[in-house]
Amino acid sequence: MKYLEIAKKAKKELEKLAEEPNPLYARNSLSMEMKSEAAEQGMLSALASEIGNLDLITNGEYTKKNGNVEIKEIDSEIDYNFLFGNESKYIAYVRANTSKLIFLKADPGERKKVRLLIGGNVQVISILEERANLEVEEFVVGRSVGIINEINASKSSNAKINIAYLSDNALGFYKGVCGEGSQVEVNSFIGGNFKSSNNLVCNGSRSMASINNIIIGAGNKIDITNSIISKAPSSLSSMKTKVIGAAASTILIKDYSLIERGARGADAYISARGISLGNSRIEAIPSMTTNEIDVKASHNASIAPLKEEAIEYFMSRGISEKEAKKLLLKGFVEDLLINFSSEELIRKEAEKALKNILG
Amino acid sequence: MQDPTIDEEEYAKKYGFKSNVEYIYKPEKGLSERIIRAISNEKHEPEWMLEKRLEAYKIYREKPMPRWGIDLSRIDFEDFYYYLKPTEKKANSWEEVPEEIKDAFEKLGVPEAERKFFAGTEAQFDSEVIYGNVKKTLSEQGVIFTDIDSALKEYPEIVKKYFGSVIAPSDNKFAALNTAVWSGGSFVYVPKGVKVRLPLQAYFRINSYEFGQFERTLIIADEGSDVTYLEGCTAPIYTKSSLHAAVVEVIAKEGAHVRYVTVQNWSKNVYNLVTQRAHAEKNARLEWIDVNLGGRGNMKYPAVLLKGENASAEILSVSLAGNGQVQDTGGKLYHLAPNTKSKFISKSVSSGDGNTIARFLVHIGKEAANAAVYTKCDAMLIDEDSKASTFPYLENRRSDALQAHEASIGKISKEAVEYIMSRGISEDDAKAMVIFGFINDLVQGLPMDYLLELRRLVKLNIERKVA
Repeated sequence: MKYLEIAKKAKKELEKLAEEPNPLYARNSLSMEMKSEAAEQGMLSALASEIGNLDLITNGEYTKKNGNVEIKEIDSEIDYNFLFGNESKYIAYVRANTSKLIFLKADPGERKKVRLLIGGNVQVISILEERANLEVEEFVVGRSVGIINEINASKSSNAKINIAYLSDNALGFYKGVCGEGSQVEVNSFIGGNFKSSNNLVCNGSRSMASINNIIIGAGNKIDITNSIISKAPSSLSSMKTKVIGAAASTILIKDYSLIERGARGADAYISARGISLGNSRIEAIPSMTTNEIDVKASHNASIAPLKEEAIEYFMSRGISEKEAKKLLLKGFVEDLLINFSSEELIRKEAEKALKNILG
Repeated sequence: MQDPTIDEEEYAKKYGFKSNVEYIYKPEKGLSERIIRAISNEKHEPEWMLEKRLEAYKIYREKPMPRWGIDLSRIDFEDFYYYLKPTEKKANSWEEVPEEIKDAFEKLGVPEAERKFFAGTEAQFDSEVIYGNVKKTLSEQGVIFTDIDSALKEYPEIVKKYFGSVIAPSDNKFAALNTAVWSGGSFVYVPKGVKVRLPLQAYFRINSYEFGQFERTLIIADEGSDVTYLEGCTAPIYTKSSLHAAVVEVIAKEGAHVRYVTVQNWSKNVYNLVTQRAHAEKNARLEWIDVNLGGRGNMKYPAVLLKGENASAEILSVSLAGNGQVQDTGGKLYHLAPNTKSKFISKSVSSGDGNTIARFLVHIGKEAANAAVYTKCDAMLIDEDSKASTFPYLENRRSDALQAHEASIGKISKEAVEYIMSRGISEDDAKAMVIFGFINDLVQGLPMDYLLELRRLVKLNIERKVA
């Protein structure tokens, strides 16, 4: 099969497709502009030296640094079943505008780390054989970028995908399947305007799927739909989101966990927490369906401004108001921040974003 | 799915029955402009009401069926009688109530309940209120508690002012249907500063084959008043689906407190599609206590619009879904003014292949400075085939709002059941006790006889499932 055919079909269907793949959330959806504007070469090179240790740099032009990454042309024969279809018009848009496919493969028992700097539309397909261990870091930069990730985790494998959306506008989607005893963890750091819908499926028993999002919005439109489907016994699923919204941001977090009949002993957890500053709007829909009795499922959500008392406490200890706020906000996202493979780089980005908000 | 009528026999003996009442007026099945004109004519309604009905009928025809919630495809809307009237004359005292109908209410314990607890009783039999009695003390206080048809004749100005002011026919398809064909229901007006100490109570019944009941309730609590309204339903059993599409409008003026309690126990062939909404003005407090036990499919989301400063609202929702039942219930809270507070708590229990869906919406509007919301939904699963979902929609247009939400879904605690059984109590009783313990804190606000009935019903639900 050639990907070119898929891209053509996606382009054809685009106009007829819905904004939201899940009709449950049709009412709560933000429209986003669909455009592609790759990062400039100069900016990419500057960032590349800052981040360092990269395996691939791309903004449409592909600069490969080593053999960890396999690049396939869209008109070449590809032996792979795509997880994504044209579920929404945004997904179809990214699919239609993919010029090359990036394959990351980890052989049985292999441990692999891959770092990508992405400044254009891409699709990254991770394939983990049994007992493989793959750690992917994606730094998404530039003006308007679209990224699709597909994660295929075989038995007992371990995938950790870290994505930092540092671009002005991004459409970012991922899907993953978790085989028996495998672990798939996706950590996203989100700044800028962002539209996303993601789905992980626990197909194998004792598999583990987790979605972690840190969102810092400064006047941005951010709309994320996450879902995890637990199909197999003793599977674990977790969705955690921490949102800081400032300067008239609109941020929608829609999480859905479905536990199917037969997923005995499954455990599902959803948490969405937001701190709203200034004139921002944060909305959450942490939904859940359970069709199996022998499960544990819970969710919580909270949206609130920063606690005045906490700020005053810091100030009584001689810390300025601005510094107090910064410390509180940093503390708020800290528990999800430490999940990232390059914790320090993300921390630096978070600090930059907070400085933007607090001045 | 099991035929819901089969395991209903015991239920029929205990709670369901069918009285043979001759219907004096009986139009044909289905809905048309002609039938709506006939209903309005039969009731000698003013012209504006007929206009309202016809306008609503137009909206009803134009609005599509909701594509979410329960499966409504089994309902044939052309297969219902949209208006029936059991007796021409309205009875004033219990003695005048026809024997068959009396028998029906005796089984429900209406007069008993009245003697013991309630200030006034409105018992609705099919479309018309046939028995109504307002206690002397209430009328002395100036409280109006009557059926809405009488209110339309006696207090046309008040009805005209408030009818449809909280729920417009354009709100949803079934509110439009109700507005077009409504018949019967309660009208309550509590004057300024009057505190009604005993709860007002109304029973509703469906007692006709393939008959949809469309009652309309309007409650107006004037400034500083306080009233509790109780509505309880049980219904006889039929083989074909019945439809219940009611509209309840509540207006709580400045500083008023209204508590509206529903215990819904339609038989398992009834589709219950009810729109309930309240306006809470400045400093007003509104409470919905919504207990859903019966029906095949239930879609009901009591709503409160917090329109005035410092208004507060509480929605407590309890749903039990047994074999063949879908309880799609919840609530809506709209914060539209500063310093408004609200709370939503739901507890759902699914047994057999029952399915509970807790769906609620909290909206904090731009005007709602310092809004505070607490929401919680817990679901308990009893059997292998039981299903549960929660869909909380938290919409927030303010950055100073406090919003907290928690939810959990889990199975009935085996340890708790076994512990109770070790004290010599049967498994069914033990399960019923655990379920009752789970919902206990939400139903505390119910009067004692309701609580007793609820206990019996929870147990019956468990026993029936085992049988």
